[in-house]
Amino acid sequence: MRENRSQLSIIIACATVALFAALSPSARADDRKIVYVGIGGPTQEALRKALFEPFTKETGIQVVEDTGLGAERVQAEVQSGHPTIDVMTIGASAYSTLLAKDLLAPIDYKYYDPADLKSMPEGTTRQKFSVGSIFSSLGMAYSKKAFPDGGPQPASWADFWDVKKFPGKRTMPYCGVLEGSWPIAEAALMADGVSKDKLYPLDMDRAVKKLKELAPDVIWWKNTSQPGQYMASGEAVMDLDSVGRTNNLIKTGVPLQFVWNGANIFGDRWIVVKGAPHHDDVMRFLAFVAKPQIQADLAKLIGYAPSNPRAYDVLDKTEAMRLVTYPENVTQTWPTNPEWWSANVQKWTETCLNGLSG
Amino acid sequence: MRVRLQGTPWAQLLAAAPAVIFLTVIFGLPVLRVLALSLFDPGFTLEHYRRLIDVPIYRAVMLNTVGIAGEVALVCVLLAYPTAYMLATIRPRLAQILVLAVMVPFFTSALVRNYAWIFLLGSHGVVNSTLLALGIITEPLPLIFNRAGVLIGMVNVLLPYTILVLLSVMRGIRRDLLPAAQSLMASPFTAFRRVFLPLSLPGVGASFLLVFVLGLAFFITPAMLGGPHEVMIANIIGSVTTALNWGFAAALAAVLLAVSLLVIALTQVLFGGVGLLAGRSGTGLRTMRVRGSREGAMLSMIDRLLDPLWPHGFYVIGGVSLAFLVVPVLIMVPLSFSSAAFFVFPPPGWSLQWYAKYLTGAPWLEATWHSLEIGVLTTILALAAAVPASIAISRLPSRIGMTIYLWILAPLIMPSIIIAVAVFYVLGQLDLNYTVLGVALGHMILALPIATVVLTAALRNFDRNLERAATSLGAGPLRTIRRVTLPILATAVFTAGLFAFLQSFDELLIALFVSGINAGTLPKKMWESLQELDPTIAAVSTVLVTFSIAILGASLALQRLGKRRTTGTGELGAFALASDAPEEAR
Repeated sequence: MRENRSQLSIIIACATVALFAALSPSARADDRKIVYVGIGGPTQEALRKALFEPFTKETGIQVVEDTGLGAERVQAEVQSGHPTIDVMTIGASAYSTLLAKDLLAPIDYKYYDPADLKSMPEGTTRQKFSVGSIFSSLGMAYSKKAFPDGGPQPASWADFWDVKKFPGKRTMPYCGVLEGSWPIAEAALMADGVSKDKLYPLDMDRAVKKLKELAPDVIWWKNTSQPGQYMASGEAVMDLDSVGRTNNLIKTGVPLQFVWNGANIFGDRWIVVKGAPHHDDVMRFLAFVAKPQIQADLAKLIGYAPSNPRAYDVLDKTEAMRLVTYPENVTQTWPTNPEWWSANVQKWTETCLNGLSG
Repeated sequence: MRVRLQGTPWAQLLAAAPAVIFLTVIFGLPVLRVLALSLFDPGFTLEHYRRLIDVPIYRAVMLNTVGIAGEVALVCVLLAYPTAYMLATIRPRLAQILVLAVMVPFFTSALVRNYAWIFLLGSHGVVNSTLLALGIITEPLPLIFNRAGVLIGMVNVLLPYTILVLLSVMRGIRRDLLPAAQSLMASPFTAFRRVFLPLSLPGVGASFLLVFVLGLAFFITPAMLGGPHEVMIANIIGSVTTALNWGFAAALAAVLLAVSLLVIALTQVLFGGVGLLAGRSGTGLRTMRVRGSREGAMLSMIDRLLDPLWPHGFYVIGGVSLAFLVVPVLIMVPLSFSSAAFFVFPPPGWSLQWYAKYLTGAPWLEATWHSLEIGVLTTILALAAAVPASIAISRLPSRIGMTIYLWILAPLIMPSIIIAVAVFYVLGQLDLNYTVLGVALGHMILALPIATVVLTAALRNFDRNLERAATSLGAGPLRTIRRVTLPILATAVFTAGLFAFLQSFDELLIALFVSGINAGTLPKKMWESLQELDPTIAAVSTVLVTFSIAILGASLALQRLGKRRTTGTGELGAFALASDAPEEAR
C-alpha cells in the first residue's frame, strides 16, 4: 500500500489557507457609517443612487448596505444585546409586529428642516417609532401584447375575474405568503361587487369562494421575482404586482399597463432598530432623505411616491403622473387597513389555505 | 473467537466525542431553547400544539411534506441504483467522465434551475411545444405548478446525492462475489439479486434516508414549481417566523422532528442499513447466508424474464438519468447570454452583460470568495469530526452507536430557520457572528450529519480483517487507520467531503443571519433575486458549473498521468469515485 504524500500535502495546504483566512481579522472601519438592511436588487440600487450616495457626498457618512430577512433579523439583533444594524424600510404589518415586540428606537426629529417638519405632519407621516418613506400601490397590470390598444382592455377587478372576455392565465400571490399584505382578498371582494369603502372587516369566506372560482386560471406566485417574470415570458397575461415593479418592467421593454382603478395605496416606513449602534448619524440620514429634492430623485428612479408633499414642487408633470399620489390616480385607490391585517393575518392564511387546497 | 482491535469502548467514545460535543453546544442546547418556546411562551401553554391539531390545514401540509419527500426519495433511489451500478461496473475511464454529469446540478442555483424547468415544462415550454408540433398531443400537458413539477424539480437536484452514496457503498462490495455465485450455477441476474443486492442495501437505506431528510426541508423549489397542494412545512414556518410567532414555529418544527424520527426508525427496521451494527461475527462484514437453491417458482420465473435485460436495462436507466441531470443546464447556459433583463427563452438577443456584471462586480466576486473559503473550512472541520465519529459508531455496541448516530443526524431534520436563529444567538455569545469562522461553524452543523451518513454506510461493508492483518504486522491503531482504513474508504471520504462542501456552498438561511457584510456568501447574494430577478444568477451558475467540471476534469487528467508513472493506485478526487478499488479489496 503506497503512501501518497502529495495527497497529504494538498490537504495541509488547503487547511493552512482556510485557517489563515478564518483567523484573519475582519476589517474594522473607524469611519462614520450607518448600516442599512434591504432587499437588494434594482430597488436597493435606486436607493443607493438617490439616497445613499448623495448622503455620503454631503456628510461623509458611509451607508453600509446589507440584505437579509427583515423582522427575524431585527429581533435576533436586538435580543443579542449589541445590534449591528441601524435602519430599514418596512411595510405596515411588519411595523406593527416589531412595535408590539418592542424592537424599535424612537426617532429624533431634531435634524429635520423645519419646512419638512411642517409638510410631514406629526401623528400621520411622522410617528414616534417610524417616519413615512414612500407610498406605493399594489394593483392589477395586464399585458398590452395580449390586450392591445384599440381592443378591449381590462379596467377593473371584475375584468380580472372575467376569463371569457379576457382569456389567458393570471398570476397572483398565494395565501399568506407575504404577511397578508398583498390584497388578493380585497381584490376578490371587489370583483364580487363589494365597493372599495365597504371592504373592512373582510368577509373571508366570500373572498375565498371568489378566489376558488378563478383558481383554475391562476398561476400562484410565492416570491416577488415571479410575477414580472411570468408577464415578461408570456406565461401570464394579467398579474397583481406593485406599481414600482411594473414601471421597472415597462422600462426594460415589457409592454404592460398598470390599472389604477381598484389598486390600493400603502406607505412604507423608516424604522430604527432599538439600540442601533450609530444612532445619531441615522437621525441625520432620516432628515436628509426627507428633503424634497432627494425624494423627487427617488420617485424618478423607482416610481414610488414621496412622503413629503414638498417634493411635488420639484417633480414635473410626466413624472408625477406615474405616481400613486397624483390626484387622478389616488382617487381611484383604496387604503389598506394594517390594524385589521395585524389582528387577522393568521386566520386569513388558514382560511385561504384550507379553501384553495381543498 | 472475538478479537478486539482497539481496546475498550473508551477509544471509540473519545473518537465520537468531538462531533457529539460540538453539536450539543452549537446546535443541541440552543435549538432546545427555541423548541421550548412551543410550550413556554412565556408561561406554560398548550395553545400552539392545540392550534396545530385543530386547524386542519397544518395536518394537510405536514402530510404533503412527508408525502412529497417520500416520493422524491423513492424515485431517486429507483433511478440512482441502476445509475450507480452502471458507474461502478463500466470501464473506469468512461465512468470518470460520466461522474462529471452527476456533479452538474450541485453548482446550479435553485432559482435559475426552477425557471429553467418552467421554460421546459410550462404550457408554452419546450416539451409541450415540441409534442404539440409533432401532433402527439392536442393540448399542453400540465407538467408544472403541480406535483409532477415539484417531483421533477426535486429529484433533479437530489438524485446526485443518491447516486454518489450508492456508488460509495457499491465500490466496497467485493467484485469476486458475483463470479463466485455464477460458478455455482446462478445466472448473472440471479447472482446480482441474491448476492450483490442484499450487500448494497445499507447504501439503499442510507441514500433514501438522506434524500428524504433533505427533501423535507425544501421550500424554494416546491414554492416555485408546485401548486396549492404542494405547500411544504418550511414555507409555512417561513411565514410564521416573519410574524415573529416563534412559539408556533417551534411547535411546527417539533412535530416535523417527531415525524422524521419515526421515518428514520422505519427505514432502520426495513433496511437494517442506516449505517450501524457490525455483524456479530466480529469481522465487521455483514455476513448473510445465501439460502439453499430452492426458491419459489415465481422468483425463478422473474429471474428468467429479467436475465436477458441484465445488465443493459440498468445501463439504459442509468444513461437516461444522467441525461436528465444535465437538462436544466441546457436552458441555463443560453439564458446567461441573453440580452433581456428578465428570463426569456429562447433569448431575444445575445449579450455578455451578465458575465460582466458577475466578473467585474466586487459584491459578486467577494461573495464567491467567501463561499469558497467557508466551504473549504466547513469541509475540513466536518470531516475531522465525522471520520472518527463514523468509525466509532460502526464499532460501538448497537444501542450506543444508534443513539450517537441519531443525535448527529438531528440537525438535518430541524428546519433551517430555527437552526439559524439559535446559531446566531450562540455565536453572538462567542463573538463569532459576521466572521468566516462563525459561518463555517454554523454550516458544520449541517455538514457533519451528511458526512456521517455517507461514511457510516460505506463502513458497513468494510472488512475489518484487513485492519487485523495490519495490527498483526505491528501497526498501531492510528497508523492502521491512516494507511489501511482511510485509503480503502477513499471514495466515501471524498463523497462525504464533497457533500459537506456543497452543503455549505448552497446554504442560505444560516448565512442570512450570521454572515453579515464581512462574510456574505453567494447564496445570500442570489437570494436577493427572489425579490427582484437579476439574470446575473444564470451567469454565476454557468461559471460555477464550468469551473467545477474543469477542476474535476483536471484532477482526473493528473491522476491518469500519475498512474502511468507509478505502479500503485493513488486515489484522489473523482478518480476515486469511478476507478476500480485497490487490489486488496478485490
